[in-house]
Amino acid sequence: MKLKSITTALAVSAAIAATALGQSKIIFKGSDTLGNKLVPQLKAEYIKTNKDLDIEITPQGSGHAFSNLLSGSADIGMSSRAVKQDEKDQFDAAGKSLVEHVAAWDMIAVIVNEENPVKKLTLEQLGDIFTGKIKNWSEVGGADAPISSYTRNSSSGTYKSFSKLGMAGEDYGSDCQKLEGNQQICTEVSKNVNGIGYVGLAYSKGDNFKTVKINNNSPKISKLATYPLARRLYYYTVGEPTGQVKAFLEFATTAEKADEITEAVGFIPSKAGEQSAAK
Amino acid sequence: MGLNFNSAGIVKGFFGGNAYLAIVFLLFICLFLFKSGIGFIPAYKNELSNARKAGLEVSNMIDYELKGYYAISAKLNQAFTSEKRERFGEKEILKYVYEEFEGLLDDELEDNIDGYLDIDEDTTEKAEAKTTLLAEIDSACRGLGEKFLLSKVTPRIPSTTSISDDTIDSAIEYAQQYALNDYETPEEIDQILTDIADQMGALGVINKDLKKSSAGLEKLHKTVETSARKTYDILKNNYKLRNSIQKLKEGLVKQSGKLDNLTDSEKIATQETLISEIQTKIDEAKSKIVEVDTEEAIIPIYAALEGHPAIIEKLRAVVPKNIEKLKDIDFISPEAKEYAAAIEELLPQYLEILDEQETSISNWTHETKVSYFAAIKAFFFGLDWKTGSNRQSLYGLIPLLSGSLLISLVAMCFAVPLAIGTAIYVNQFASKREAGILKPAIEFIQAIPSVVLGLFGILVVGGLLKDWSASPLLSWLPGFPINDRLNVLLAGILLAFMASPTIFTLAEDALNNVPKAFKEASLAMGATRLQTSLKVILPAALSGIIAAIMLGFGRVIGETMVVLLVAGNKAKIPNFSEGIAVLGQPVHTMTGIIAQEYGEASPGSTIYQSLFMVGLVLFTISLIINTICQRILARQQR
Repeated sequence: MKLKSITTALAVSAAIAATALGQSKIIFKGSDTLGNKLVPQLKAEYIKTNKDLDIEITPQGSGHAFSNLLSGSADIGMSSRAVKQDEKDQFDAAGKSLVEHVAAWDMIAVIVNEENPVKKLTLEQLGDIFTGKIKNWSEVGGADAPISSYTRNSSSGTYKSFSKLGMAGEDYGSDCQKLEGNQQICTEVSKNVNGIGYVGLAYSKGDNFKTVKINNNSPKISKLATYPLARRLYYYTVGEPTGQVKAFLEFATTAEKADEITEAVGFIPSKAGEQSAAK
Repeated sequence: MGLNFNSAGIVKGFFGGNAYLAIVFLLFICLFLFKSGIGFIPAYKNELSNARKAGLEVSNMIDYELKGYYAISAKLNQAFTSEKRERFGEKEILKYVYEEFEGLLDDELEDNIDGYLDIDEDTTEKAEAKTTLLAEIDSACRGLGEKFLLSKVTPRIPSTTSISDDTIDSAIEYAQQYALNDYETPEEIDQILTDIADQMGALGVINKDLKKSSAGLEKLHKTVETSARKTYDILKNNYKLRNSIQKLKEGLVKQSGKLDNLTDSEKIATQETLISEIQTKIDEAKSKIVEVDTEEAIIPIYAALEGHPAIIEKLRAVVPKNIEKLKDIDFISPEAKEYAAAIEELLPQYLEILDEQETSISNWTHETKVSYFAAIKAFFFGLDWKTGSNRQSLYGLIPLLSGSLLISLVAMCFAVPLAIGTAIYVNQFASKREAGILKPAIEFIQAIPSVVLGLFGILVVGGLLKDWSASPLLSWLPGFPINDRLNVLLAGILLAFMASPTIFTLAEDALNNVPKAFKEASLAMGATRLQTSLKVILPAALSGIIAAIMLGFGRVIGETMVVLLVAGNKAKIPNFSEGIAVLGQPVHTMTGIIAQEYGEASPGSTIYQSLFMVGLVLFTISLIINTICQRILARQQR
């Protein structure tokens, strides 16, 4: 008798918990540039006023945004690149429409080890380093030492954006080491005197590594118009967003508080970005 | 009353069903792998055939010739730089010191400089601000100190011992100009290197001549590449469009099917608009397909190729002549001398490449068909893995296979002695209490999640390994100090750690299975315990131990998370010519590539299928290893 009442109580509370969880939930999947810092901080701010809301964030790389949106396992896809044609085709074929929202502007910062004396690279030198044409630091004014180049892996939007913006669309050389995320690139560069890598602006400050000027421009918000490696970051939804998703996106892209967070994390709020890029 | 026949039957059926479920599951996986991977061969054949029809293949050959040349010119460039720094280092120091100051201004004084720049009018206020700013810059720059500046200069010019006050003074002047000119680097600074390069005499001439010599080939490559790319991109795009149409058509059929089940007129209307939208998209895609006549598009490539033999002839004359001249130069810098010697070694290899490529280019024709066999060969024996390319994607297994095998071999070199030694000790020598501690402890290692081990490798072992390799005690070893933190050796060590419990447990079982009589007989004959273990027990358990090693190998080659995190993921065949130092290089692996690239691969695309092909290869390797193990174990039991 006692046992029975306990199990009933358990079942009821589990059911209540389940409905409470199921009430409202937003699932984010995709880019780790967005999903590791910006979105979690926006979430922390947003749930202060929306206590019932549950937000789940899984950052794995931009490619995952679209596969998950298509299968319905994500409400919002985060991507550090625009959608590709063959990804769009799949949505078209399923009769779904993909809606794009600019989340913020980002600059891809090129980082080298603190002890590396090189402070500047031209865009051409940068491209040659990652295509594998330049293999020694002495060729760009550094010490006589081999270059270890670290890149993101091919699921990453930054991987594609960088090849487009920094390497004139050429392919990565076979000497590049493909690492798992921005943070791992920072770690490797900070521990390898001869390392070079690229990360989102939000990751560009840290111990033992520093950013390099590209074409005499450092990655700073004031240089958005002239820095060659600036790009948009996106949220994607299936169809025009409604309900909680809409409310969250509105908060994330227009609220003043959200802009503050975006800047604090190291990105440029979408509106400010569009304005200074237009200059 | 106990179980009656029926309930026993049900229980038996349940157990049996579970057992057979495993087989069904296995078959299902096999089927899935084959189904997803098998389309790769025709798709890759199509890509290769497009590359040939468009002429991209011949462009690759010319590119290969150029790469050989770049290897030489890069070495010459390094020789030139080292020599230049040794001879005219003092002038270069100014540039390096200035760059430090510029960096300092950007980081520390930006607000002050902006403050000055924001004053619009030429007032006394501005003049005052200018004086203050200049003074601030002066003091900030001097604040860096000679020691710090020297630490930035010596990596580049090792012979520098001091920086003169004159250099610092003029560097500060340039830094002040930089600030006043709205962050514009003074031209004189950029001029420094060009000026020095002009004063390098004979070496400068050789460097220039060699650089010029490739112009003809580069131009030819560009002509061929541009023309081939144009055709290839159209072919590639058409292929993509056809795929889109295919997908859209499938979608159309599916959506039309839904129409039959709908009764609500409103829903039918929306569904019909949806269908018509898909239809428009199909038409749109169809209209984008561009028909291209490859026969006509290839003509300019053949025309350009006619000039190829003459260009090569010239290179064959000019490059050796310039390298010959290097011998007459009196190098001051020892590094430059080394580079010059390296260039001489490279030359015969380069000439060989030229010979090879010249014959293949003159024999090349776009008309030969690419066979299925050629596509299979290009996968299994291809030397490049380059996916998601803007140009031509290449799916060659060798870089991944060699990486996987190399790591596994290194892992086994560590794991086998460790695990077998431990097994012999625990089984033969350890007291009961000791064995009671050792055995569970080793088996517990198996319970560590591989991602934890991977992170441990990145954060702890990787750093230790690199630091140790740089210590004077060990740096005499070949391949030390290691340049890259993530490498074969690190992955091998961590995987050895993972494989050891597997090998240990199975080897210990094998030792246990040796009949007691063997041991007793041996001891009775007067053999020591060590002799008994090594000469009687070990040979008797050998087949079981071999099976244990092979299963350990299977575990290592299939491991994903650890290699993904610590192998360095460089999809290039390790450079075995470096001997044992190859262990310090980063590599990519078959398991790693699947984990890394599947996220980007849309189902049905060539890369998606190629990853399944890699999966199939892995599956086959595991299957072979397991079969051999079972054979060995079966023989032992007989």
